[in-house]
Amino acid sequence: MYKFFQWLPDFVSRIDGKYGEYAKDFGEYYRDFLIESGICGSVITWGLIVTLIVVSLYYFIGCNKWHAVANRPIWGVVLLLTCGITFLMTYNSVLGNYDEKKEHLSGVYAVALNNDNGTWQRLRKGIEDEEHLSRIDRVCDAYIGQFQNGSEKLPIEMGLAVSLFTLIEFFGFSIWFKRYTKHGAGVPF
Amino acid sequence: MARLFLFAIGGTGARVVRSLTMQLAAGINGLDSNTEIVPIIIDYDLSNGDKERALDALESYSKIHSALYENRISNGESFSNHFFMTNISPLINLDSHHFAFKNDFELSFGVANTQKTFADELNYRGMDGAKNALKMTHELIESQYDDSEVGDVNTELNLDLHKGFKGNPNIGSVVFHKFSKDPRFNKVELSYAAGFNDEAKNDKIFIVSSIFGGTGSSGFPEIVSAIRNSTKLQDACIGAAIVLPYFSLNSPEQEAITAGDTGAIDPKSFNAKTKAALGAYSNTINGNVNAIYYIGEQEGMRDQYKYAEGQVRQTNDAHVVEFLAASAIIDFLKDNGNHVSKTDPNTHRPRGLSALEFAVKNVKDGIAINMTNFSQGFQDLLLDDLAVFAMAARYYREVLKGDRKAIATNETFYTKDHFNLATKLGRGVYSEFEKFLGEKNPSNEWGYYHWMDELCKDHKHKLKLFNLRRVKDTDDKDDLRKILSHKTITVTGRNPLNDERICSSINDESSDGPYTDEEFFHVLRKVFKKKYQNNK
Repeated sequence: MYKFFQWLPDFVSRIDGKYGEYAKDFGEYYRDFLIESGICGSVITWGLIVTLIVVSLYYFIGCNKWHAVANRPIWGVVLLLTCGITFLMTYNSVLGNYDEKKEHLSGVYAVALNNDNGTWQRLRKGIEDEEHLSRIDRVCDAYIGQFQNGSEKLPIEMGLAVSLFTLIEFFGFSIWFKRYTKHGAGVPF
Repeated sequence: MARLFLFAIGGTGARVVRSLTMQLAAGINGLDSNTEIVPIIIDYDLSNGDKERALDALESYSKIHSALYENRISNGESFSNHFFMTNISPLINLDSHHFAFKNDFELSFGVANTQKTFADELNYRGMDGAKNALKMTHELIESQYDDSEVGDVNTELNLDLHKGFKGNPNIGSVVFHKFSKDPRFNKVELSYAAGFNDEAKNDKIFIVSSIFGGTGSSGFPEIVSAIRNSTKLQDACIGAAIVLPYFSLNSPEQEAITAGDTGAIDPKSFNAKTKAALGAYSNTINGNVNAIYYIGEQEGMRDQYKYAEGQVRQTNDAHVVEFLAASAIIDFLKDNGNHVSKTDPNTHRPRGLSALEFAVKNVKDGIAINMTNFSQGFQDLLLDDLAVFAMAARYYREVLKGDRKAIATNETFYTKDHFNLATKLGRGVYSEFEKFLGEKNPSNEWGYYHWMDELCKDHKHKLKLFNLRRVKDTDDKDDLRKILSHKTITVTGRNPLNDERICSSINDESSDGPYTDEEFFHVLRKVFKKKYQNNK
């Protein structure tokens, strides 16, 4: 499902190893995180589920029971709220949580640091050259540091992308569900 | 099907028919789609203004009824609780729910040739020089009627009939005597007898006319006589609304004189003519009619109308007396109180006469009559239904048409998957409805709003039941609470009469469809009936 994000130039440049000082090395980490971990599919799926639930609640409960909520301004507010929810969900999923204890790692940190299959661990295996190992350590620190200090904008970009998907899904579900309601048949149009 | 043949004679008869049409538009409880009223407007004055307005109203009503219900009724369905549900048919097309042209409701005795005088009608000149019985007839006529020249205020033989009988029932009754031979009366006979089954036994006849003018007081006894002398109609249940004097006339103005009026109609003679007629009726009519409704205005409370002897200039504002005379027709038809006497099939005469008068209560000088001045029985008879129609009409104008606050076009019932009102308002049956209300064409002055307005202006006894003023310059969302003229409807909790709640109710009532024009008006009536009943 990462292909849903391939229209984001920064997303592609990271996977292709064309980003930053250690472009090729970073690419390893990004490919692991964005492609191998399934984070893209996860955020899209959860975004779809949240949108479906919100739209269903709005139309089948709200627009069937209360005429006062069946109007474009309210619909617009619900739409914005849903986009906001999916944005935050995606942002937090991508960014994850950094912790000293490995079992509490999530998001990008979990992919980079956690367990024996973590990117960092995997890359260090079998390497004896201290300089090479040191370089890997520096890349890893830089990679984690970018997410920790907020200089990495990828979580925001993916959050916005999922919000856009939410907008489209919201419209689609609205057009489908509105005709089955008492007061919402004309919302949004 | 309950059928009523309604003979409406002269200008007063026509004005009563106009009022009746407006009342029936509200969908009177008890007069459902199985009820058929056959108005027959009789006037010698071919171009009478009041008659034209009544005919316009009938034609418009007929078009709306046909557009909404023709197919459904053709499929054998019957229903109640709908606007315009009572079938108003012309005599030439009974049992059809197809729309009728205005002239189909008219039985004109008048002559196109404006030169025809009463003498011509009698062939008086032709009798001159004749012998034997014809010569005696000539002499009798000569002794009975004034032969002043044409244009003289007293003339009778030389009276130009193209404006009617000008307050001369002694002329009108002679002209009307041929009514029983008229093929259209024969049509009534045949139609009444056509069933001769249980349904036909429910057919009734009603006659409405004034008793102080020319046409009405002439025609009424002749029609009753024709009916009772007809072998086919002799057992008919006959009701009548006898309208006593309720207005007077000013002296003719220059405009009237220029138009050819001679001042022949003398309002000072109205009371005398009324007494004479009532005296004559006590020996003739009273034994032949099952119910008589007497309606009039007391001396001193009669309006002064502008003098007009007829034609288009005789266009009087609607009056509460005509409104009540129309309600008499409804009362007769429904007969909920079982107060209309029955006809004895052996003697072919009513078993008794039900004589009814109408009274209002607590009317104060200078204050318009409103709903509180009527009994609960009368409110149940038709006023409640009129209130529902008034609310629906105002909502249609103020919200659906946007006069006060336009409805959101994405409102569910408004959308194309439902009633599709965006493409329909102003077209087809909606266009005709707007015309009936008096909205469509500025020159239409016979419509519902005009009628209501006339009832409460320039009369000594005004009738003001509802507030129907335009409110396009106000943003008062609760204005429908003020639909009744005597009070603001009090509502508790969330106001169910505000626009948003009304929309919600319409959506609720129409959620299952079908989304036909008929269903739209039906839902409108259901919604406002509920709101009115819950909050009046």
